[in-house]
Amino acid sequence: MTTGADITAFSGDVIQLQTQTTPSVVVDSSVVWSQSVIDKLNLFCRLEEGWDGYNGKPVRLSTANFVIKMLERIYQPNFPEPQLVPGSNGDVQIEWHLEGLDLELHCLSPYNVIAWRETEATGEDGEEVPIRADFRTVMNWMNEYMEADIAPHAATA
Amino acid sequence: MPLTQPPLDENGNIEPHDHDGIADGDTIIRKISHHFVVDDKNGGKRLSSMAFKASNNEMSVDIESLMLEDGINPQEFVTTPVWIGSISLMAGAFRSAGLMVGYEPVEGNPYHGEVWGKVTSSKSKTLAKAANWYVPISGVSVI
Repeated sequence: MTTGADITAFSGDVIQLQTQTTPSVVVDSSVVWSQSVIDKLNLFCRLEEGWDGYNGKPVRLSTANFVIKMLERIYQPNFPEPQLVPGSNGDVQIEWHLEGLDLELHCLSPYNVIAWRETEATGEDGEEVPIRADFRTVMNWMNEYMEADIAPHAATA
Repeated sequence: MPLTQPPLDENGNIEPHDHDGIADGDTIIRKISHHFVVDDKNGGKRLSSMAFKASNNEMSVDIESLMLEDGINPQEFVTTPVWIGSISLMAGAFRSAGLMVGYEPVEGNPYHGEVWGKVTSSKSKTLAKAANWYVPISGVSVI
């Protein structure tokens, strides 16, 4: 799935066309992905300076493309679609607010992510983990949620 | 009373500082973009923690007292031209979270301030609890 001008995407590679006049994220077209997430990232990459009422900058294209790769890595079927929120310095946050889990992945720049979750077990302060490229912690958090969400239903089946 | 000029570095840029002319009880306003509104877990709307996070360890704000001294209507100022809402906290709430609240006038906004320091998701939640709507966005909770 791709957006913007005609694009040939090599598997696993991110290519920014020189001919594009507006920034667009690039995805491997063989990956089934939510178009709304891609559309959101493209929107954030095109935000005007000062979008936040101060000196807010658009999300950096490199960060947006990294977010796509990150989400491709942690994607699990049946896990709800994330919400995306731009930061003021070219950063972006991916977040889920679910019953029993608040999960936030604050992508400051490529390979610079702060993962945070709040569950009943962690309490209100939550649990924060810096991440560069190893997303196993996040995937474990997601699995814990999925298993906890499924288990009660199975018990009553 | 006008705030004294903030400290400058060798390049003439304002250095991060905690301004002693901004009292703990002073109202600090932060404009809220619609991009900060997300769905909550109960089917309603809330602000993302990003509304309270300091990108690159700095968060822009507006200082209410300066507007009032100039005879400016703060609620009009923070919603001009298109910002749909804003929140407010006491300066002391930022400081209690280990952050600095400083004065940083910029071109086009002489009432601009800055909050400096690292804001984790946990800390942003603390700030959200201390915040109130200044100009509310209908149907959206602060936390």
